[in-house]
This record gives sequence, C-alpha cells and structure tokens, in this order.
Amino acid sequence: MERALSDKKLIALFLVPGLTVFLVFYFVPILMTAYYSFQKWDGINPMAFVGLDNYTKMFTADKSFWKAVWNSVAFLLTGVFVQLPLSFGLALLVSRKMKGRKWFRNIYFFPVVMSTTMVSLLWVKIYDPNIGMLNTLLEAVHLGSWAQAWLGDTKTALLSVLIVTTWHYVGYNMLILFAGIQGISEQYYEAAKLDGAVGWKAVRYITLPLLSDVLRICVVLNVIYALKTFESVYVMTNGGPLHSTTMIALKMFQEAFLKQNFGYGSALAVFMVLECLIIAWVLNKVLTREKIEY
Amino acid sequence: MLKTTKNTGLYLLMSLIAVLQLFPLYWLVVSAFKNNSEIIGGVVWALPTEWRFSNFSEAWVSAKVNQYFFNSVSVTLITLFCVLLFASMMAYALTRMRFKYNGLILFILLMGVMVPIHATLIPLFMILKNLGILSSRLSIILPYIAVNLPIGVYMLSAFLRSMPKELEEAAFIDGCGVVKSFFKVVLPLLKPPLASVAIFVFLAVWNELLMAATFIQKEALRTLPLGLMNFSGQYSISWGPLAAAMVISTLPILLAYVLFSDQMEKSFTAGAILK
Repeated sequence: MERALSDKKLIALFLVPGLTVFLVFYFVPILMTAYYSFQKWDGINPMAFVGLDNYTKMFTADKSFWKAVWNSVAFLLTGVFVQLPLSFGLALLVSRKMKGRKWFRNIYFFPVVMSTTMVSLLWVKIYDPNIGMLNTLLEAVHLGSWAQAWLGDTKTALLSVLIVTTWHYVGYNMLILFAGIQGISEQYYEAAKLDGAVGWKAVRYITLPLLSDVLRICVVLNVIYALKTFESVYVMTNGGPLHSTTMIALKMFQEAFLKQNFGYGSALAVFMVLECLIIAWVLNKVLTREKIEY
Repeated sequence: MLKTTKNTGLYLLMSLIAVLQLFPLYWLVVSAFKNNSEIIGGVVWALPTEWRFSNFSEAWVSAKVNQYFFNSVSVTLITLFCVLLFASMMAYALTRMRFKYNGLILFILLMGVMVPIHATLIPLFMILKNLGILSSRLSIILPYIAVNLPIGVYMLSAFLRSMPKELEEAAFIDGCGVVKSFFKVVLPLLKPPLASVAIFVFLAVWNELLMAATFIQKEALRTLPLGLMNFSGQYSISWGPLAAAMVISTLPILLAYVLFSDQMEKSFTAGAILK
C-alpha cells in the first residue's frame, strides 16, 4: 500500500485535473492582475509599462476612490458594531432551551441562503417611491412625511444599502455564534450559578469570554465581506447617486469593463487583495489573546 | 408564574424579529400574484383579490425565466459534479499519498480561500477570450470550479485526516488498487462532508452574479441572477411578473433548505471557520 501511494503516476492522476483548473482559472489570474496593474492598457492595443502611475492616480487624482474607501469603512463598521451585536443577541435568544427555537433559528437564517441579487432586487422595489412597501407602510403609520426615494437621494442611499446587507446577513453570524454557544459545556453555567452568576452576568462572564475565538472569526469574516461588497451596490444603486454608494470592487468592474482601463482596474483589484490580506492578518494579531481556561 | 410571563415576552420578541425577517419575503410572494393597481393602490399586507398565476406564466415564458432556469441548472450541476470529484481526489492525494510538494499545494490552495474573486476578473476575461470560450457556458463553469475547489479540498481533507485508514488497508489486502479503493471505499465514506461541500457550492454557484455578468454576453446563456437583473431593468413597471420570476428562482433554494437545513447549518459553520 505504501508503495502504491507514492506512485508518481497515480499522484498525478489524482491531482492534475483539479490543480490544472485551479491554477489556470484562479491562481495565474491573480498573478496576472499584479502584472497588469503596472501597465496602461485598453485590452486591445499593446500594453505600455507605466510603473506606479496607476497607483499614483488611485491615491491622488481619483476622488471617487477615497469615497469608495470610506464607504468600505462604513460597511465594515456596520458589520462589526451593528450586525455582530444583533447577531449575538439572536444567537442568545435561539440558544435558550424553549419550544420552537429551531423554527426561529431557521427563519432568521433563511435570508442568508438567498442570492444577493435577489435580495437587492427585492429591496429596490421595497424602497421604490411608487410601488414600494416602505413608503406605503410609513403612510399607514402616519409618518408619510418621511416617505422619499430612499436609494435616489445622496443622504439616504448608503444607509438604505447598509440596512439591506444587515437584514440579509444577520442570520449568518447568528448561526456561527449559535454553534459556538452550543459548544460551551453546561457545567460552566452550573458552576457560575452557584456563585450567583445568572442572566446577563452569565453572558458577560461565561458566554462572551468562552466565545472569543468564534467572535474573532466573525469579526474577520464581517470585515472581509464588507471590503468585498459588490453585488448589493451594483444591483441597487450602481454606485450612485454621485458616487455616494460606490465600492472598490464596483469601481474596478466599471473601470475595466465599461471604460476599458484594464491597467487601472487591475491596480484597484490589487489594492483590494492587499487590503483584505493585511486587515485579516492585523485583526488576527490584535484579537488573539491568551487562551482562556477555567 | 414569573417564568411563564418571561417566556411570553421572549416569544413576542422572537416573533417580532421573525416578522421583520419574513415580511419582505411575504410581500414578494403576494406581489407575485397581484397586478400593478393592487400593488400601487392596495394595502401592503393584503392578500391578492384574485390569485394571478398569469404572472408566473408570463415570467416563465415571455420573460424567458425558463431559459435562465435551465442555464442555471446545467451550470450548477456540471460545476457541482466537477468540484466534488476533483476536490475529493485532490484531498485524498494530499492527505494519503506521499510526495514532496504536499505543503506547497495546500498553501497555494489556501490563497484561493483568502483572495477575493474580484482580483481574478480582468485576467480571466483575457484568458477566456484567448481560449475562444468567452460567452459560452464553459466561460463561467471553469472559473466556478476553480473558485470552489479550495474550500472543498479543505473541508474534505479535514475529514479524511480524522478518518482511520483500516478500511482502505483492508481493501488493498483484498487486491484493490488505489483507484478502485478510492472509488469503492473512500468516496462512500466521504458522503457526509461531500454533502456539506455540495450545499456550499450549490448556493455559491446558483447565486453568483459577478462572473456571469462579466463573461456571459449572449442573452440565451444568462443564468438566473443575471437574467433577473436584466429583466428588472426592462420591465421596471410590472413588478408582479418580476416578483414571480424571483419566487421561481428561490424555489430550489427553499426546497434545499427544507430538505437539508441541518446539513446547511453544518456546511455554513464549517465554511466560515475555514475562511
């Protein structure tokens, strides 16, 4: 068996099909993006090497780039400071031993499995000033003066999109946190009870510290998702009005495939990759503490 | 006594949140049966006065949702089959077979889990164009396989590492070769993690928009998300048929959810921990 398992031909047979597809259609493109980012190129005429010009343009000349960065920060902060606490609350609720908790868990989670395109199209209609249910609902509760074109106004567009992503993904973090809470042994709570820690105290001194690993994963996931946001803004607002909802991924897409600036688009893509990798790495460093033992 | 009031309060809170999560979907479903005057003038939460199945037939035939649906099904099935086969073969080779570049391959695959797909879009467009398969089904199937392989390999390797080797050894003693023992012994044992990977990949592919929007230029090959997006642009006035189309495209997910909700929870938590 050992000999059969180190047979070169067999190893190749098992690895080559998948590895080829992965290398050609994923790995090599990543390297090519880095190469393109130093070129000026419209996709048709020959490339011209321009060094760091694309990056200089990105950081200095392109105003909507910084708008996109700030929007990412807004998504990131909402993910970590709004969505995550809400998810934690939901996870606590559905982990109480009560009848029907599985039903509630399933209901809270269901939006997550729906596509972003679907969810975004649905909310475009909800926000629609003519047929949307939001304005109609506001009128029904005598707040008709609040009714407006939610996605069409620079003041409300970003907030409206953030509400949708929160609604869409709140169940995702809930599920991960719920799995984490399930993994905490009952005996800690029993011991804490003897010391008088019940209710919020138990959450504060038992659940939260023992969940810190899972919480770290959730923070990293939320941050990465926020930085990668594309579909929701592409479908709901296409970055508008006046760049008020634009994102890096959307800019990359528009520069490359609408304006044929493949070099500049690639530089934006490289920025995104580095941003994701560096922030994930930093978060992992910052948030990792000594493991807690009780 | 105190306990029951507390529980009623909890149930009320949880039901309120459930309504918040479900109401948009309820509105979608009832809209799918309404006409415009009912949607614009009517009460938001009211049921349709008449259940208009015509919205569904209009979406299915005139708006070509049938075509988009078939495209999504074929793309998803082919991708799913290839990812499951390739990922299990790779996971087997990487955990059981002996060779030098084991660690290197795993590291490169890890990059695939970490790097956002957006970074591959521009070169992929060029590669697909040069291969002459841009705007064919293959132009999204191949990237979909590539993108979903790493997570599949990781989920399956984790399972294989914890699986005892005795059964394979027994198969070897019975005269099975590596290939035969892989297909006859290992693959059947991999069923539970394969189901998790399958659900993960199914949702990822069924819902994917960015690559489809970039690489599919022929209208006839559009997948559901792409088709729905264009549909909504063209028929901006008739929300009923669009809602019907959206209900149709969510049905397979709902069905999968009802059938495999436990498996789905597992695959999502496993996927999250890997990322």
